[in-house]
Amino acid sequence: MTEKITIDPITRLEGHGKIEIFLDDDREVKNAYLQVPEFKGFEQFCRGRRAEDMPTITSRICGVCPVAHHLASTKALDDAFNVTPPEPAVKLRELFYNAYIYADHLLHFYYLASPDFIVGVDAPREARNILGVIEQVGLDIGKQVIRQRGNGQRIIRMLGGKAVHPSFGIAGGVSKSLSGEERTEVTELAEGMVDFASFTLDVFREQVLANYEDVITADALETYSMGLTEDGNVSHTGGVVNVVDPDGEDFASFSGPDYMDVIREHVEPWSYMKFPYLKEVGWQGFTDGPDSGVYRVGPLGRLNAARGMKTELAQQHYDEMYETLGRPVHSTLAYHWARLIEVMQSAELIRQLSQDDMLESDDIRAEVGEPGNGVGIVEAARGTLIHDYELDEKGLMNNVNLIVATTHNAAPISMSVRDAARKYVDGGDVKPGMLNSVERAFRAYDPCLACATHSLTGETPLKINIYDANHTKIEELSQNLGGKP
Amino acid sequence: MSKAKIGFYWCGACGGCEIAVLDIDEMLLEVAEQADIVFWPCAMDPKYEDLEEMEDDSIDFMFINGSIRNEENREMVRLLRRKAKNVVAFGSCSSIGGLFGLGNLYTKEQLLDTAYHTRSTDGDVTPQKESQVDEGTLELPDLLHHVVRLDEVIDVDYYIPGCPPLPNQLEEAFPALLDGSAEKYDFISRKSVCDVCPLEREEKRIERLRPIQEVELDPDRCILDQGVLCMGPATAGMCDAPCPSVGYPCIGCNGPVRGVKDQGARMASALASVIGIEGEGRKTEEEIREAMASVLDPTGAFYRFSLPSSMLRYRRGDIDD
Repeated sequence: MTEKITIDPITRLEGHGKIEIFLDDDREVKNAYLQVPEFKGFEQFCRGRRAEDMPTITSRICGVCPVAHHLASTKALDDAFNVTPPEPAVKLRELFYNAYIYADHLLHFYYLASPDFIVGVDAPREARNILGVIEQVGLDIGKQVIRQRGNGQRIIRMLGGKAVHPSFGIAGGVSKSLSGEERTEVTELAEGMVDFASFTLDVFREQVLANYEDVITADALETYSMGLTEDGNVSHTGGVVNVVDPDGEDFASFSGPDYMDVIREHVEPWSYMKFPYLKEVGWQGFTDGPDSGVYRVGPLGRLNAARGMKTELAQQHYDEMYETLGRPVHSTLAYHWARLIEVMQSAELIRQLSQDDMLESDDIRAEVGEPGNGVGIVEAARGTLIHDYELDEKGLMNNVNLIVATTHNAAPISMSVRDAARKYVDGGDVKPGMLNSVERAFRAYDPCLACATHSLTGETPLKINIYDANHTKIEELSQNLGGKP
Repeated sequence: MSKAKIGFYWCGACGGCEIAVLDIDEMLLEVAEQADIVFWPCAMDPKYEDLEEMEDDSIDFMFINGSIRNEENREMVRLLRRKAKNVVAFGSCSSIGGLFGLGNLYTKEQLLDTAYHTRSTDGDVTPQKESQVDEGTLELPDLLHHVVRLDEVIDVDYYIPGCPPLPNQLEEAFPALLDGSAEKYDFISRKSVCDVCPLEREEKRIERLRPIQEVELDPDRCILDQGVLCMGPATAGMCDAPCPSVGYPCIGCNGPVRGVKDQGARMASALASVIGIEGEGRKTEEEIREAMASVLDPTGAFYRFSLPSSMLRYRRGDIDD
């Protein structure tokens, strides 16, 4: 008899989702599907809109990474209006963007992921959240976590008026530079941010790596890796997208509209999430290795696809990670480590930028040309983000294509969930913590399913359904059912 | 007195409303002291079954954000309504329909067809309500024909619009709700964004509208006076005008001021009084038409966040029911 287990909603992630696990006659896991039930339809309803509204329309694809969509969109407009922003505007965008990377990565590590490590994957459900983490690490550190994430948001707010869905990017520049007072504040915040990044990497080493090394190094997927690089180093705001093969060798690189030569998207009827793959390798289904076009993006994808980091301290941690885990790293839970190395780079870049008096310049806008077509690519916290626009002669949107960070990881996330299900759901006997271990597999990617299914509205819960061998759903279970099969 | 029980839930949402709750920073710890958060899938682990097991009316305040876009959203809010004494529409999607309501300009089939047939997608597959895989059947919730407001599906006790609501709004709303002093529409301002905007406005008459990328804006002067569309006159101002304050036009995300139903109609009338104008009597009809033609995509710009709660609501004719 085939049984199916459903986890719904999957929790501590951005968006809705559910996981369906099928068991075979021997109650072993046969297969597992991560389904994303939400859809919004941006590709259609962006048509006919004013091009200048796109940075604040597309930011609503995701309220967790609005800054990423806002900047990808602004860069697509730069390209569409054939304009290069002045240097101070570029630096202000970088400050804005690194503040986002800092805040967003900390949000993920402390609020969403760390309950599994610091509180424990088998801990009672009521304790597996940020309040449980604060109980473990103490209120002082807890408050510091809250304040440090808030500092990243503070910098975004300084430039964009609001931290969520900011108003900042304009084709050819930005709307605002920093006052002297504001730059002093950023300089002061930056020191604390670098210190806190160091502290967080220590927490990772002592609380996660020391206790969970076997977990971190297991569960590998040998896929291709993708990420933006500038002079070979990890970049979030500009440069060339690099792709390396499962052995870490350069495979392809592209920028702008050439993404079409490298990426295609597969569609499955059972999820609103698309499944991108490398065009040259082809779609072979949910499988890894050099013959499968499946690739991974996000912090680990970026670090694998680059040769190093842009800043000194981040570089030291980068070297340490590869010395410890080998190169390239395929262990899914190493995403957490890579993410924190990026926290360090973003803090150091904010510190560097804050020293530059160009941030106070009034030269923040350049004259635009006639409307045309444009592609904007950035690295969102969760991976490569591509906005591709066609404008008409009035500056209205004719056509929009969006390939969004979490979408690139759609196939790998499904595979990691399937593998974790095979490993942790033993003989269909669902014990507390087992299903959470399955969820921990996707949390490593920090999936943002609101983003991934911008085509529809986004929701990501986890549910486990049990199906019998006649393909009929016989029971729905979730974590709280404990030992009940 | 026992601690109040509160919950947060997202329907068709972007996640920004959840982040907005975190953005009250340390005040979240105070809220957690005064109230038990009993349901919050974004940040905590309870599952749907936990919710179903709760007694009716056992959640004191249920904060619901996001649009009602699919069947699952609709079922879920009906369940939440039963479990909650008070439902708070949190954010513009649940209060006034929100940005995904722009999808109401099309049929659901058009939305799906375009999304899964782009320049980079393969083949001719569109996600289905039910599909067969080797091991069995998988189901997805079906889309509703159009986005509806939360209060078309269930009764709503309080509204906190904003995309998303800002920390200053929540620092006011949370205590007022918890101590029982809040009224239904308290968190929608009677003042417009213009009323609270620090920029200098002369209500200048303007020849025509121009896109922001073509105008070098003076950061101290009213954006609309400088000929760039700003939704300030038609938008509720509980945000304290953060966007105009950083040199960017208001995009109308809070929806209309309290008591006004149709934000777009309000904007059209505000614009009609300033555009085209200089020496109106002497203008030819053609010149007036040209000035009005500079208002590009009025539907998208004026109703960006409030289409489902406007008089237009959704495109009719090619929709069956």
